[in-house]
Amino acid sequence: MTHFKLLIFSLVIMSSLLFGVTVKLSGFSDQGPYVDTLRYVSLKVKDWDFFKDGDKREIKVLKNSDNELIYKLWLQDKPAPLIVIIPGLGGNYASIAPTALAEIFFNKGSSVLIMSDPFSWQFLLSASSRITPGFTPVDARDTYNALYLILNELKKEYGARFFPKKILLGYSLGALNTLFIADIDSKEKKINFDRFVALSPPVNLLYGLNQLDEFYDIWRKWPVSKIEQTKNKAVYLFLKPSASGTNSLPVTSNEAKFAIGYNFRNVLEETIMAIHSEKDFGILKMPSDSVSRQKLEKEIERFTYKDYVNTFLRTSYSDVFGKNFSIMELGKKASLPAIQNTLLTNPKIRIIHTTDDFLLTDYDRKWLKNIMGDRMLFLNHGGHLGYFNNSDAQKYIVKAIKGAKFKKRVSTKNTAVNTDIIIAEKQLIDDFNKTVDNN
Amino acid sequence: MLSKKNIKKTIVLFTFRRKKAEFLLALFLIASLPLAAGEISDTDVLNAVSSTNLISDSKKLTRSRSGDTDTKVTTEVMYKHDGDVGYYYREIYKPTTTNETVDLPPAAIPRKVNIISGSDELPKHPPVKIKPKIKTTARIKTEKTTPKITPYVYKETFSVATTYPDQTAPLLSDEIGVRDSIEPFNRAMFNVDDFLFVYLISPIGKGYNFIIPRYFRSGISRMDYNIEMPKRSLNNLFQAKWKGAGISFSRFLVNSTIGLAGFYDPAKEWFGWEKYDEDFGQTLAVWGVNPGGYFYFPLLGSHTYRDFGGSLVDMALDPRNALIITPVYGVTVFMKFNNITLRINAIEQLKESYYDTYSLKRDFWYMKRTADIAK
Repeated sequence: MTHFKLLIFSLVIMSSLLFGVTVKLSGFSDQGPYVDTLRYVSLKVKDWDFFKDGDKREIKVLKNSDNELIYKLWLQDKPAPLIVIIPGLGGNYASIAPTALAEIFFNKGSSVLIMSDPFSWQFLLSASSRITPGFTPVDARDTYNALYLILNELKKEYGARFFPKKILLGYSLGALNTLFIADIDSKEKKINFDRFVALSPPVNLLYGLNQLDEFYDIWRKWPVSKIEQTKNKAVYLFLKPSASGTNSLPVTSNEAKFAIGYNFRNVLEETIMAIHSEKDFGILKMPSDSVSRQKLEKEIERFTYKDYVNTFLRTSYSDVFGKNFSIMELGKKASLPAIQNTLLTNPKIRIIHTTDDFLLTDYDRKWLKNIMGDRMLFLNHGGHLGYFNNSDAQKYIVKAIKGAKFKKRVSTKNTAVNTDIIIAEKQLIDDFNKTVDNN
Repeated sequence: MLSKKNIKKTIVLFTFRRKKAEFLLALFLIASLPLAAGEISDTDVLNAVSSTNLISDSKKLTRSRSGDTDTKVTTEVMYKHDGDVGYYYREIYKPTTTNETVDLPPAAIPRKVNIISGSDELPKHPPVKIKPKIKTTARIKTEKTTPKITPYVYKETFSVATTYPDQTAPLLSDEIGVRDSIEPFNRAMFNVDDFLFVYLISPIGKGYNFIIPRYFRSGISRMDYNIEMPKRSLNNLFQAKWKGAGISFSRFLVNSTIGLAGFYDPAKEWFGWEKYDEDFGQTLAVWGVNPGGYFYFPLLGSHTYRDFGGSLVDMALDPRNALIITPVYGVTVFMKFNNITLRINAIEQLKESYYDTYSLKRDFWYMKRTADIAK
């Protein structure tokens, strides 16, 4: 019996060493990272009129463009912290998930502003200096410039005291942009945000995009009936808001992977369509046409994320990096390690991730833990953003916004590790350093 | 914790090097510090500072006072301690006779420490939990310490063989997508519909929503659904879905009576009877009729040829259409309009979310349609 206890204790310690500060989500029915990710769609606004109640505003960002950047603003009637939300890949000011997050924050007393993600068609037509999104340093710079104009306008209209604190919150690709903006803001201090909260940012951008490509391609191994069946399941999951954290979802991991890949591929297709309508890079054969698009849609459908990087990004940035630059080099400049000094030293940053997000490798998780320390929190489940509708996770997000630190907590009654918060030990960092040294 | 805001004190450093007497004097000064401090122990502050990693010293130092022999130099120092990063101010007296700005290397920072209480507004702050060590307090590490940053190792490599996507790979849309062979016509019709929505239905609907509470609008929508019972029951029968046919009919009986002509839905609320929606388009699909191409028509929305044929049969099965009198048509149109008003905000939000709303609506409608047929 004693040996058994020792074994259990060792397992707990080992898991803690692997993932650092990790919290357990209550009321979360774990079905693995891929199925759990689908729970993301269950985050919806409680009041359907909430979106309508927000103030839809426009601002001219690019001098040489007629398009204006649209953003959505929900203001409290008294001075309150302003939370700026940058959605994930392709999300814009009207997307459902950021609106639902805005509703949560607004009901807790903050004013909320939703920006469009640089990868969204709305942003790239009105605020993107390069039109081709995906290279994070430039995307973040564009977003920062747009935010500077927007916040200046609000400052003029309401006065600086109306927004005693300014918090930037992004999720997924929006989180990656948020952290790059933190890097810019810490150097330039033009906006001087009080907090940067990044929810589930990818560490290595190319790895993340590659994962999405692989997920989508799963259908190629399936018969048509299986594809139809999976698609039908996904449709009902999307339409059924009850697919929350407490229910068991009737899909397998592979079906969930396909649903995720399919969703993200649709975003890419929409983005390429928007780019092509604005500027012909000579990559697509079919011209942009507002009357008949089926052939163009099929041509675009062939593009994977890697193809997009290798064609549109390569062409767009050839004047900066030359024609034969390495995609890996571009990927490195667009990934989190490029700003690791800021991540290490900026006390305003908070990151929340999960221990099973498929956009990260275990190595990425260790690297993040090493860099961020107690400014980051791992949730024990949720895959990629699947925790959004979990009340525990929402509490942690609010804590992160308030600037809480996620420190280890040891039970004073027992010598055993507290079950709620598993402790990250220094050993983790030492092990990690050894791994890196060996490499 | 320790931060620029919280610590409004000044740490003054003097040089002491050789004489033991000076060292003892320094110890005396340090020992007497808690007397001059507020809620936070100065010794603790010193300990905290002395045990921190000095991340960066600002290189540009400014001189704020110039005397005959000493110059007071202030610098902002960022520190990292116990996971926190903050700032404190360090002031240095450096012998000099000139009045120029100096760049003081970190190694030249003098080594005697004193603390002078700052303003009256000392922050309420818990004491820093550091074991007091006088020796380390007196000897502040002056060299600049950079925390170890472990470089990220990119293990994965991404090879891209071609500069253009694979042209031979099959497309998902060819496998399960809808055939939109009259796309220009459909897009034109969609634009007409969009125009009607933006300039007619949406403004009138918003006015209607403003006057009629959602409670009544939802009730009217349920009444409309209830009237269409024959369509559902019969199509369930046509597809040999006996349970669906029975429940659809039972729902009609309960909701028409207890539910006040369908304004309420006690069949679901009390008995848990879910809806079994079937139409003649679905029946035709079950009977093996191919969907044909996609087409869009204003106010009628998305259809395949098969579903459009089916919808004509469904219209015949609507009891309201059996009464060929204008007021009944008026009621039907009103109920359909009422249904749309429940979704105006959601429709507008979706229209703003997507670049090509026509493609979105076509593809998602077809996906849902095939899912409904398969269930």
